[in-house]
Amino acid sequence: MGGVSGAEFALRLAEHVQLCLTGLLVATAIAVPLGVLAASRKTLRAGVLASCHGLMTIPSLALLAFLLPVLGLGFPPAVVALTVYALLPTLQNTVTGLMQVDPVYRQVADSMAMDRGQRLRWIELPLALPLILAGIRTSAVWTVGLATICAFIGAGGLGEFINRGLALSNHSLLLMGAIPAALLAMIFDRWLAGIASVLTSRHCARWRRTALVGSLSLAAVGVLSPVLVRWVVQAGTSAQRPLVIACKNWGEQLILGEIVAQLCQTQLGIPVKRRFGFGSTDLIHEALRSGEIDFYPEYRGTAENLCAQKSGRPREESERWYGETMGSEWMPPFGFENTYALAVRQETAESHQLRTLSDLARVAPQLRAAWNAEFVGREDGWLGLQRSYGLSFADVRTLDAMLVYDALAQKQVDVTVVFSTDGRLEQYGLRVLEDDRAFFPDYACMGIVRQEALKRYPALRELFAALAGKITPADMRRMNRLVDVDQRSPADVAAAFLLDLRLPLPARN
Amino acid sequence: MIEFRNVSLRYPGMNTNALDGLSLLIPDASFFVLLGGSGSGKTTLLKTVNRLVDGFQGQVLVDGQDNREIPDAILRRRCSFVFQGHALLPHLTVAQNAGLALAVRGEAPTVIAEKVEVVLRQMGLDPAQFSGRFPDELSGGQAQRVGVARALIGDPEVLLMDEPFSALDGMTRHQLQAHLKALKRQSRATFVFVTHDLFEAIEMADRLAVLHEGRLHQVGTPAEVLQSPATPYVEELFRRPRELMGRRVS
Repeated sequence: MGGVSGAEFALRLAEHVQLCLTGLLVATAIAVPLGVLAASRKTLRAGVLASCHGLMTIPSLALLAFLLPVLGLGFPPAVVALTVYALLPTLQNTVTGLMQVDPVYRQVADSMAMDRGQRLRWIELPLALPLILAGIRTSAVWTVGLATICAFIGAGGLGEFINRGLALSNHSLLLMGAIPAALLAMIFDRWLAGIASVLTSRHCARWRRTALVGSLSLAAVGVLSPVLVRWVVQAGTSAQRPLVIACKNWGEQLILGEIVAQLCQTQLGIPVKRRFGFGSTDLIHEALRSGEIDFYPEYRGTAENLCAQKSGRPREESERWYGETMGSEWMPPFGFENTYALAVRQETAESHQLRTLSDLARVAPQLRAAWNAEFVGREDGWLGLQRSYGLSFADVRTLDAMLVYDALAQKQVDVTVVFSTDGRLEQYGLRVLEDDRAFFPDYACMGIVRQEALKRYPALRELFAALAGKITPADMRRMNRLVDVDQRSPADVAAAFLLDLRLPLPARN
Repeated sequence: MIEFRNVSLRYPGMNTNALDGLSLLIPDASFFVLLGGSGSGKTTLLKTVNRLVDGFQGQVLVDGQDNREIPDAILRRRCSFVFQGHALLPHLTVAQNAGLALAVRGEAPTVIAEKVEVVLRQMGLDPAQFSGRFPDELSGGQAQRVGVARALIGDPEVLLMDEPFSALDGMTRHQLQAHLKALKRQSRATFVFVTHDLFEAIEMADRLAVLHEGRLHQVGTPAEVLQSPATPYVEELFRRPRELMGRRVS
């Protein structure tokens, strides 16, 4: 279903369970002792609760972005983020539970001269236990939901399918992530409710130890499950380090990722690992720099901007900067350019006689525009564009890239930014306006490959040379439409394209 | 012997003293009742003995020793406490509640189990029937019997009781009063018993002290206090019992 194998599903599910349990265990291990301390110290309590509330208000994606420079990609930042969000309910309930203990029981403790530890163990913690467990349950359900966004920073999990489904407008793929995540949340909740009732019910006293040991063993299996799944799946496959092929999270990128991955596998016999669906350019760029991935398709303009941003060097030196600093090399362009373009409805174009962006500048004050978040913030996007053409719209808002076509079709906005190879341009009957002042830089698409991968697999260089100029803008628009509009899987579309292309390739090495 | 020497206490934020220069002797092995209305300071005074209430001025001597010089663990082993409304821990069984003070001291489980049986029997509860029950599976009277058993288990020299029977119905209260008196007859411990109930005070006390607004109004045997009240307050307080007893005599 949706090009997802059973093995991949099992792996993603296991990754999800691992993320959630690790975050939850770490959070519980921090929150309960911290809650005990905070409950008895007023100043600490105010400070701790306020900072936890503060952490909760950081939008989750922003938090992941903050963690990125420190912890890199993948599991560590994901666990830290999940821990941060899982802290509050457990902490709050621990504090509340301990503070709600009837003061008469503290007097009972004092009348027996219990020390602080005995009072906690025999009186306060048992009385607060139901609330503490309820806090852990709340944390657990939040964590399962939140873990879906960890796919954006390459931590895997069920969010991988949601991410991919969103990028491809593929609802079945989306549900493949969303439904198991929801079920998992329910299972976690029931499981913890079961533990809670065994731990707090007096009739189950003799099962307490069994329940605790059983649950902790189950949790340990859960935490290790991705290792187990990988071990089962990979038993028998070669130990050679695979080429890690990556791409960002929309159709065109996934198709290009598939094309290269399939060529490597079938033509060159190179073992390949797909790390598809990175949520932003910064993330995938960082993964390339750190060597987590070996290849991804990039657009020249985007690469030049990254270089300018990170090093302050002029555009002409970008390719050299990639070689020296990024340890990567630019491959020859594939043959199409995917540039930013502004599009309007056919009827808007006709009624205002719009052909170029200069025409648009004339009537812009009567029109409403919508950009995606990336375009808004970029110097080669909206920032530069409005200066270059003197554009000033009646209304400018930020919309998810997924939604702009519908917004345009439903006449909620009049102008939006599209990519020139987007398959939906035809489907929605949109007119792309000509960039008559050549504002947008060259966005020719090419592969960027790590130098060490080229050394490991020299045939890669020949593969990209053979592929140079072979994917025309028309090819790309057609393939994009098949994936984005007709919901075909990128793997099938890429395979069909390669079948037609019949590349003259070097012999298998 | 417990001796209060000029004990005063003002709770933070209050503008009158909860205890106001109070001096009093409680003889060894007596059944001593502290009698007073709410706000009289009787419970506060009781709690100064094992320092559940601290920060008072003056001295409280336990067997001639200033109780501030006795470490908590020892003071509270010697002077155990029975709470108003039993205050049993809801998550522990009767046996666990009764044995808690010994568990705190790190006694061996077998020792604790033996002692628990003894004190439950002393309080008229069959260990086989009650040990495994939880507090909410007990009647009010049974729960307070466990409350007293919990205080008895460490063989205290002094048993401090804070209105232990005030929440019980009349019948149950009489049974427990009788039980406690019988227990006292077999025990060398000093019982200090706080109540606001005149009849309970007269019924139980060897000696009683009448407290009002933090001051001591009279100390004596119930007969002395009844027959020759020392202050107008005491006279007014015992008017009704006197009338009832007079009627019974005539």
